[in-house]
Amino acid sequence: MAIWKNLLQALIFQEPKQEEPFELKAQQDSLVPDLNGTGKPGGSTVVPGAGCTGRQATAAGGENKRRQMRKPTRITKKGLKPSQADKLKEDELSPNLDLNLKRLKEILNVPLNQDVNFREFTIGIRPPVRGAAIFMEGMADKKLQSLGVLQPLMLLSSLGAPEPNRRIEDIVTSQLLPNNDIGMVRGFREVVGGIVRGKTALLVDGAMQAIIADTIGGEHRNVEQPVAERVLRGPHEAFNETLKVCTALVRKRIHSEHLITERFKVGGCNQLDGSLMYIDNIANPALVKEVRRRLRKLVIDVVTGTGALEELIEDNPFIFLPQTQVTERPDRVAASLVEGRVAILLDGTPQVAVVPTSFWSLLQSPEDYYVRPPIGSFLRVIRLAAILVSLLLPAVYLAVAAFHHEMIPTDLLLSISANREKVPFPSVVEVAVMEFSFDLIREAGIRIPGLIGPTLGIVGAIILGQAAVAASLVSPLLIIIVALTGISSFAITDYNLQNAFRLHRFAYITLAAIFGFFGIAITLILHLLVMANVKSFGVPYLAPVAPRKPGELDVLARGLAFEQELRPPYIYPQNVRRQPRISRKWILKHPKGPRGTGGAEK
Amino acid sequence: MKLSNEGKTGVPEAIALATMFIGVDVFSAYPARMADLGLSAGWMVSLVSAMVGGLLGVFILGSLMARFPESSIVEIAEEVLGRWLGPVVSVGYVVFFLVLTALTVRQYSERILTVFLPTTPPTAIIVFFLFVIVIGCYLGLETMGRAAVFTFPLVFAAILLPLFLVFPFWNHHNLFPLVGSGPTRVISQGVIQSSLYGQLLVLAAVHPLIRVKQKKYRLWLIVAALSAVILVSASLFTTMVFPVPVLRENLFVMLQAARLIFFGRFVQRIEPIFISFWIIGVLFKMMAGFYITLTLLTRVLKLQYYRPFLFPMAVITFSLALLPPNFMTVINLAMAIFWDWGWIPGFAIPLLLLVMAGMRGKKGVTPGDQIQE
Repeated sequence: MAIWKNLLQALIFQEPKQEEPFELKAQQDSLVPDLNGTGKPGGSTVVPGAGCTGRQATAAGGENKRRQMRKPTRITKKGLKPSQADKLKEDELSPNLDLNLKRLKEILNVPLNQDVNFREFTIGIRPPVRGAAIFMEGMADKKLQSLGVLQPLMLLSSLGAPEPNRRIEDIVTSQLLPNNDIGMVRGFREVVGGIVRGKTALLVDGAMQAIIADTIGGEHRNVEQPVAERVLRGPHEAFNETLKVCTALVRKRIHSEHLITERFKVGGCNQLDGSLMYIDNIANPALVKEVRRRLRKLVIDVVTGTGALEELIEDNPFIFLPQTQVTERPDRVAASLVEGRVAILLDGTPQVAVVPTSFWSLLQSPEDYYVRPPIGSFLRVIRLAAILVSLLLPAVYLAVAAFHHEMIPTDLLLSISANREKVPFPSVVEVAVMEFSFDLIREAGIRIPGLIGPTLGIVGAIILGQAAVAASLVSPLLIIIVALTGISSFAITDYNLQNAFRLHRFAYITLAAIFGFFGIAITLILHLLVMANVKSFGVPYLAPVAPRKPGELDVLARGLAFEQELRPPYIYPQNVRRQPRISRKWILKHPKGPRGTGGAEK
Repeated sequence: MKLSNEGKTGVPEAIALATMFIGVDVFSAYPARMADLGLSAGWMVSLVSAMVGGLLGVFILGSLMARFPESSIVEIAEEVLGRWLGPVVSVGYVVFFLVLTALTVRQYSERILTVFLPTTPPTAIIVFFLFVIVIGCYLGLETMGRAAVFTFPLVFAAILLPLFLVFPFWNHHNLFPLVGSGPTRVISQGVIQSSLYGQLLVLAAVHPLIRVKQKKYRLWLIVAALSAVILVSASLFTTMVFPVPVLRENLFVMLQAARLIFFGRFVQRIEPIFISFWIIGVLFKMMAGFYITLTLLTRVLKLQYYRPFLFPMAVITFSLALLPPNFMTVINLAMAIFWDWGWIPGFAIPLLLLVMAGMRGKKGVTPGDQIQE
């Protein structure tokens, strides 16, 4: 039937129906703020940072009547005497439950927004009092709400007699509600702020305050193994997307009252929760203040995670090098905090940013400290070599192949040129094509669905490579070089650093193709100048090597645990000394004797 | 007076920068020149010049800078010589460093041409050099110093390592007759060649920017000693490898030495690796020279920012570098200006300033006084 209809439509012209196709257009009164945030003439002003939370100030002239802010006074003050109404501030709750509910429904757009639940009930004390629980569907823990909030208020409240002469909200919080985390707020803004985060707001008739019970639950991932920073020895825990779990994972490793967790919010629209963690008697107060300042001064619509936050708070967002250490391992964060660094955690991101960082910290892996010291040092040297190889190997190959044949021993040179003889391209083209296809495989490999992924990786790497060699498109030596470069790039611990060096490699390749080793030297020094110029929260990127800072250099050689007596001096912690000069007191057999008199107590 | 975006630098950074500034002269005709003057005792000429020049530099410049710890040579000249004669001397220093930079750029671009890229036009290499120099100077002394301290061990090793790796070719007979061209000539030439250490001036130019002031002469001694280690060992070991007649004809002895390295068939002809590091060292010399030119000029003109001078001065350096008609002229000019007559800006004028300052009782402000102001 449908076929027949379509055929008819195709053959016979029919006048089209008067349907206007949907087209997304700018609204008449849309808010397109210019750079100063003042908006178009006639539009209403967007308060910077207010975002989509509905806090739009009215236009100064009041020309736009439609989009004016709904004033809280409209409902809250209804039914009150003028003297009472004056005392109430605009945002504040009234003692009348119905008014509050109406107002809340208005703020939460309730008939439209069907996520919000209003659960009205009666508190079973004498005389009974009406109350309401308001929460977001799916964000709150149902079991906790039913058993920990509603059950005690509705059923268990009738068991005991309330203390006389107390306000109703005090009775609820002190006698009835067993929830462990309760807040009392006066304003609608805080009530709504709690509800949208998954808390339960309790409104009680006759109370001037709302009770916010922490019932945050909902779905979240468990604590699992790290994805990018696996180790063989050491803990296998990684952060997950829940902020509370993340902070707890760090706190699990630092049992100190000095570990501070400051809460902050970023993003005007999404109001993401975050935490700033530091140890207040170690971290430099100036550093903490600066991090706090940068976070507070952010006027940004949306922050999706630490990755997006990083570029908002770092000193040089334009260069490739990462200036924060992003890690998914709580043990690593804990170790950094003890050194005097500051950690920035965001809700919804399983990665934590640690500042300030330096190039050498990015080079280290937590495993260095879980294996024996010489092996740890060896791993670091391997990683540095990996960096050099991933940066320089294709460039050196190009330089040698195009400019400095004399460096290659004759036999090798002959075999290389024999292999290259059939290849029609110059070696630059070869390298460029191979690097490009390697990056292509790498990028595609992330997106290919799980089971096919490794297969395609093998297909890409081996079969394509083999075929390319067989077809004399590239020389076999180049396949080895590109593969080695790729492997080395994966040996770098920090993912951001991997990517940065992946891009830097192309600069080396280009200049090596033009100038040979001279080009490599020029690129090296430019690269070095850029790296020396970068600062991560006021700390030079190459510290403590350049500039040289006195103190232990925990750079390449991983020192013994008892030898690392100082915290990194270049981040200027409050007390640099970690431990006395002799940590292993047991080596002093005679504490009073000649051996133990010296620096033992220092 | 402190310029904007000038930054401060630390002691290790200053040492690294100044040592590279003086030490990279080994890549020029230095060993050949020493062999020319002292024959088989060229290294003795080098040693004498290091001792004389080092001590002169340390005492004259060190005392001058200890007297005026917060001022550069421009302010000292104005303070001591007055408002008219002072700037004349300062402009002399600006020209000195400008010519030094230009000649260094030209000389090493010619060397790279002969060694690496025979078909490349010299301007291409000069432009690339200047590109790096401008970027380095734009980023400032702080960054430059950090990069210098990072590379210094590598450059130092890349200079000394080839000299030791050619040990199979060492021949101690080349060192005899021991006093070469005769004790008088060795010593007199050594004294004259001490002009090279007049380049300790670079430290005097950087000195007011060093964060922690050390003991009076210590910094200068370290720089002079490290440079002397480089220069004397280069002279000594190349004399041991090459017989004098070969040595005095050769304009790039270090390269010849590095080419000789041979350990089996695989480790041979590895000089491009060393040259890469040498280029880095030389680039630091150019960057420091250019930076000092810029900042001295800014100070002479009593301006606040040096960055506007970057491109004009780069263009001037470019043209100056292309002025000499050929490589030999460049080398002769460089030898005449920095090695034969370098004592005038290096020692004579600072000594004059020091004596005049003593006579007129002038003294610079110490950091403590400045804070009180």
